[in-house]
Amino acid sequence: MMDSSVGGVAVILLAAILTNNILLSKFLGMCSFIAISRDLRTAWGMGVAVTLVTFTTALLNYGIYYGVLVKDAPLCGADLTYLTFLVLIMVIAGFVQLVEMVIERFSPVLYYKLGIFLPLITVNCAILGVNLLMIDSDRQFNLVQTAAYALGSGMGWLLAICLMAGLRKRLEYADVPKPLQGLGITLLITGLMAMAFMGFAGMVDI
Amino acid sequence: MATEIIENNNMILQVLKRLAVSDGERQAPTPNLPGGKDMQRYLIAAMVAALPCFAVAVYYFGSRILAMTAVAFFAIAAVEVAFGLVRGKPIGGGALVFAILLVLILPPEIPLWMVAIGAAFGAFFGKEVFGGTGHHLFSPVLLAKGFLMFSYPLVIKGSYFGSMLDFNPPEAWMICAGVTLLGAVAMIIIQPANVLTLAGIFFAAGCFGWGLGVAGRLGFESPIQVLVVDGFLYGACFLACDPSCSPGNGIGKLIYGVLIGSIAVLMRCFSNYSEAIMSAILIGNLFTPIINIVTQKDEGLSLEKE
Repeated sequence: MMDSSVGGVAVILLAAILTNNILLSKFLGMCSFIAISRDLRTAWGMGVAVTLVTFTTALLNYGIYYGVLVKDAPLCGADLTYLTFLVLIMVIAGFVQLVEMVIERFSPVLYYKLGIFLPLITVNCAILGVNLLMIDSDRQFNLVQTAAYALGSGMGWLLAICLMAGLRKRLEYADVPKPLQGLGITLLITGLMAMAFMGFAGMVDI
Repeated sequence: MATEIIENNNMILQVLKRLAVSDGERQAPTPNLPGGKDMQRYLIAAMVAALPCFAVAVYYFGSRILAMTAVAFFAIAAVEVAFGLVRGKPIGGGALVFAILLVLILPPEIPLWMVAIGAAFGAFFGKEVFGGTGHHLFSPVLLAKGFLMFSYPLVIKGSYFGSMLDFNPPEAWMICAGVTLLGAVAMIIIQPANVLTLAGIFFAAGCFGWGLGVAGRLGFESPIQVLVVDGFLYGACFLACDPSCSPGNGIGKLIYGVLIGSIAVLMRCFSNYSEAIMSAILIGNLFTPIINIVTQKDEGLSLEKE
């Protein structure tokens, strides 16, 4: 059981951004990370969208999980935890539809740049990963801690994709061997990034 | 291809020169370099500046250091020559400088095969996959060190400077710090812009060291100690200034320095690894392109250009 003081919440937030970065320590959310990181502005848009979706769906799913699904929940007595995966992914899918409509209305440029990857946020494993890790029985997060964890994970993903977009911009001036160009060098850089982030290990922990 | 390269003595001499300090022609002017020759300048500066440190290391640890340097040099050179042959391009070079810089941050008692593995990893994944010296996105030396540190954490505990602190008379690390600072002065004379990076690192590290000291979380007797333990001075003076993976303009260098200094002190006090400055510089390398994009508004890299 973690402590839920302000300090404890800050520790969870920092740990989710740096030491337990969802992308660089668990390698979740790789597909959109690689596909969208060509341009800094698009990467930023995608990162913000993922952060928003992660944060909101984690809170929604927290309410649904502890309000309905678990045994002896206030709204339903039966043990419905076998539905966890279905319910979590449906909430995420529904919310992504909403975000898609909002982005199309307010930023058509970003909408077209993100293209197919916007609806595919639905199957971004980082988001489902955060949702599943938050109800991990070892951790027993409460609502505030869940919010901090989800926000931190989203921000960690945002940080990683922005760094990657910068590095790939710089890469345009490098002289990468032909067979490695594109996906290969991107995966290599991701590995090196993860290695650099390993230095944070042990600073804060969840 | 092989016969072409070893056609005559002249070619061999050229290859050797390239392997040692790079000839500067190979590197295209990258966006954060004022000129293509910058990288060569850094390599020569680092070579000259690290020589006193190298001499001190040889004095204390004897031929061991020389053997390690030879192994590291041959490992890096082998990777470079292999890439040169396969890609049919001239060798990027700088193997000798990278070997010296690498050996000085490794503990002197590690087996030689580890030196070879680390050096080859650094040259392969840190340098050649990006196109060789001058194109690298991360410092190859630090990648080699990081790779060894995370792969063999029980063996690679400290560095040459760490060992100085452990088993030598107290004046030993004073000598170490002295020669490193001498090297820093040389670096600044050869490339004056380095002073901004160094100022940023020491300013941030000093502030954080002082702050943590007041809060009682430092783990050292005085903030000054944070600045000299392990490879802090060495990393800050020689490895943070690599022009290929540090920002190009003044304000960018300052931001980069502050970032490294603060992360290094925080990591040193709270993380599992003692060689915090090494990871901190790698993190700084990660942020370099972003810093460049933010600080160079008028360049082709800016955010405004859609």
